[in-house]
Amino acid sequence: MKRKRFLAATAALVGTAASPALAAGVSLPFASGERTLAAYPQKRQLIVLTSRPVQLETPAAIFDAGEFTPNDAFFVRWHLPEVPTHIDPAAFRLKVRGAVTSPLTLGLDDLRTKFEAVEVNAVLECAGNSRGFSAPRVPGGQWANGAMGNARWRGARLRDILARSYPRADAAQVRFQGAERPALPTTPEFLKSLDVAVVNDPNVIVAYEMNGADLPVLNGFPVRLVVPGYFGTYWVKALNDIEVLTEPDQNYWMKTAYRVPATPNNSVAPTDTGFATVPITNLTVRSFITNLTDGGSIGAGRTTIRGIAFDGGTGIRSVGISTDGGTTWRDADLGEDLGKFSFRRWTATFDARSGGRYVLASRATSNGGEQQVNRWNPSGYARNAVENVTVTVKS
Amino acid sequence: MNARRIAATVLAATAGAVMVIWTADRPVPAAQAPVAITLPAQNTAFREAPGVEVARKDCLACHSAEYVTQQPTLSKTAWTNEIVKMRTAYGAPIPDADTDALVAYLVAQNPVPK
Repeated sequence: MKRKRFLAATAALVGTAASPALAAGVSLPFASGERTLAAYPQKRQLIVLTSRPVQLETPAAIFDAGEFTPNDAFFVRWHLPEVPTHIDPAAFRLKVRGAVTSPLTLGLDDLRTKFEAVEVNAVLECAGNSRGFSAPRVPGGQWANGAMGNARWRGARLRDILARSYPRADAAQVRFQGAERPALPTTPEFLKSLDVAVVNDPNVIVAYEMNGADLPVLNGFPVRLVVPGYFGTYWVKALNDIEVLTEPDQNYWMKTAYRVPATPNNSVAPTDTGFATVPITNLTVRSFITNLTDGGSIGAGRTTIRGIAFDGGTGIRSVGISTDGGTTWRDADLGEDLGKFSFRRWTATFDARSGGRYVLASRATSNGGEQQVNRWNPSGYARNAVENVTVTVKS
Repeated sequence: MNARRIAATVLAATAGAVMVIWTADRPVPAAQAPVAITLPAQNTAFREAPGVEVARKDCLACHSAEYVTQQPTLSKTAWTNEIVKMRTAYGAPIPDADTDALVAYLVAQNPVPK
């Protein structure tokens, strides 16, 4: 049944892939923002960032539908071109090795039955989400705001798994690898590492379910690492290898890539050089208006502004709303609290005068006191500027 | 044993793996059947311009054309840095002799926005 569904999805896809000139398209609001839309296997129509390695962006309208991002609408970001496409769950094995007393080899049913199952609602956001809005522009994947999503993840705690391997006292970091592979033997494998203090956080899980279902293959089936509050680069997909290290990891993806300036707000001026960098870690606080579009028009009268907010793991304290381009602010009403790592919905209303023009903006503050700021860094990471949504009112 | 349980056992047996027989006190894993997806071919549609054949030869082994076509207008220095990164960080076998032609193609292919 499941397989049949996949085959149907694949078959449907062939038409789209064979005639790209006829494919539906969308134009993201920045230069070189033209994109095709395509339905990849197990996915609805998403914005194609790149086809190899496959990277797909979630259209903005999805975020207005609810706190949780449907699995078939969830963004996709692989780093290496050889993405796993054929998976036999019965043959799947997760290894735990390195500086441990008892190396482990775990099957999928081991993960499901030998460890307590826990759930966490958490936002997965790419470090480069919104890079296309960087000013001045920077090279890299030119995402709009759709390299993020929120899901209910279910799995086994990483620390429970590691405990059974009895890590040695000199363990410093834990390194993770999934099933993706480079095209050339000269390209570095994709490896990510976390400090021991992070892997011992009970919220960090090896997830085998996403929103109550199997993970889509393109989101890391059968299991992926879930690191609530941390950027997606650490959420290794199709996870199959865990190595306990006794020294900080020196591999390319830790030592060179995914680093931000060690400056306030990880921000520098475009002309700055020679600054120190650190590995990127926590999400920055953000909010988005989801029910109104920049440049759109609305009817006169009482108007609802609706959106989402999230941060790197303290939860949302308040969301300010402005209808005059940031001159005055008032608090939105916060929706249900689904946990400190989750999207939080909010709503506000204003009276739209016939023929008027309103510059709307939302500005979230986290429970940790963090606010949205304008920042710039050469990789376009961790963007969380307050964004304006200008609407005109029909007369 | 309900239908789902039986199905899971049969699929596991078919796969030839060493499997546990599910019992009433042990939940059946939701996913046991092999899954396969087919991804569309990569987009190779570089813009036609002098040097496009060098771009095809040196770039498409590792990534699709959107990695280039979606970039904003970037300076000669920025594009040169990208080529150096592909060569040194990602181990791409881009000959030194190709660098000038490649940079010229890349700089020209995204016009300055109006």
